[in-house]
Amino acid sequence: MSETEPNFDEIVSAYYQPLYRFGYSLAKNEHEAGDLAQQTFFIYAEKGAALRDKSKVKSWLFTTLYREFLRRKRKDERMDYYEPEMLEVAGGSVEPHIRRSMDANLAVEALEEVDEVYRQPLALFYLKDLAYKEIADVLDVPIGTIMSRLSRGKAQLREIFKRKATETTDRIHT
Amino acid sequence: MERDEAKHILELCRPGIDDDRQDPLIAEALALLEADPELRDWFAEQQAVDERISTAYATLEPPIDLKASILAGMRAHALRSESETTAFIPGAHDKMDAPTSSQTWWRNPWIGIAAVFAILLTIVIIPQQRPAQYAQTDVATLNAGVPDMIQFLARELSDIGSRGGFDKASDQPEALQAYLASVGSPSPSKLPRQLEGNPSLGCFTFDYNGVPMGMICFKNDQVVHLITVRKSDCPRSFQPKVPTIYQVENHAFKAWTDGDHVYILSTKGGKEKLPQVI
Repeated sequence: MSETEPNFDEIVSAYYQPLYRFGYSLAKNEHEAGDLAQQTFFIYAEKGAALRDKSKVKSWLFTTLYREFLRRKRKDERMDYYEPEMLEVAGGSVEPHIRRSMDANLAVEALEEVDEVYRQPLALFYLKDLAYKEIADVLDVPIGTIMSRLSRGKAQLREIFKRKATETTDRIHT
Repeated sequence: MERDEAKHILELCRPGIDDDRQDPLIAEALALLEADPELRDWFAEQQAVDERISTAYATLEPPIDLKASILAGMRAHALRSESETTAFIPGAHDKMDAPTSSQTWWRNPWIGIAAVFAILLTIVIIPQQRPAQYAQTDVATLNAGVPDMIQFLARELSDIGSRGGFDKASDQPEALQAYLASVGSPSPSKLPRQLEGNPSLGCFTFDYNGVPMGMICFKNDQVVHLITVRKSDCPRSFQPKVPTIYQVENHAFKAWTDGDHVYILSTKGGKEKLPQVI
């Protein structure tokens, strides 16, 4: 048995849920979210020993999941947004976002409707696992940008959340 | 600290998170609450909504077998790594397996020969690379007269694929104009005549040192980006009264001022590819 094995258990127990939730907010798909969380820990199993500062494990995991998501997305889309011929091929990119199933809870549905640029920091913010400076590190943007994205994103999310809450209440009362 | 500034900072403070409250920036804003009842009420309302969203978000449960599946996979990875490591320890096996890439390099004469060739190649190639280095310096010199804002945009456009998609995608430019306005980003009050009727692809927002920028991407026979910046956010040195063209590596830009906005048109390639929009 490996000496590091108990650490795996502790680390997985501590972070698999928030990582799954973050993965879900990015991929908007349960299967993909689970797969992203799983892949993140596998990468940790391979490379985590090189991480000398163990206090950075949490940030490292979130950063790794985010990069893995971007890598997959680029691979899936196989497109450069800048190339016209590729844009023609990827005509689907101009379609509106696909909405998720009706049984998702209110907050998740509301978060899904928030524009992507705000959704990533908001998801990390509401997970409550990372400080805003760590969120900036994970998403690799300046702190000032994170502050403005959180502010705008929260405004957008609150509006959507309130609207959805009202709609739900109306449905219940009719 | 002004109340509006404090509000921006207090938005970073999540209910029930002590670490947030101990952050010096947030602590300074929190200290204002005592003397400002209006700010206090606003903050209480924010916290209530944040708490409600956080609580609801936490109800998103992963599949019940996810943890077990992760642990099983990690153990398999760890065991494989262990077996690979022990294979390299002398004496661990009576007969060593075939050499692997991790085996000590000086035990493999071919690696030594390859290293000698690599050194020789480096000695031969380095002098030939000097012109390329000069060429890079020339690019830097050429870019010296280009406004920082344009250089920033060139970098963002080069790296646009890493954004993971448009902030909003739509083939209706009006929808994108409305979106940009709704998120507080500059949005063109009217489109240049040459772009009218062209389908759009989507839009992005940028933040250049606190200056918001809105960009709409159009598709015609080429992709053209229209970037809008508030004139009041631009330095006086970058409020071109007449259309001004810049070239940064393989991105061409045309900038001009109209009303309250500075507009920048960009496309990939040389300046001849820029449409004659004004």
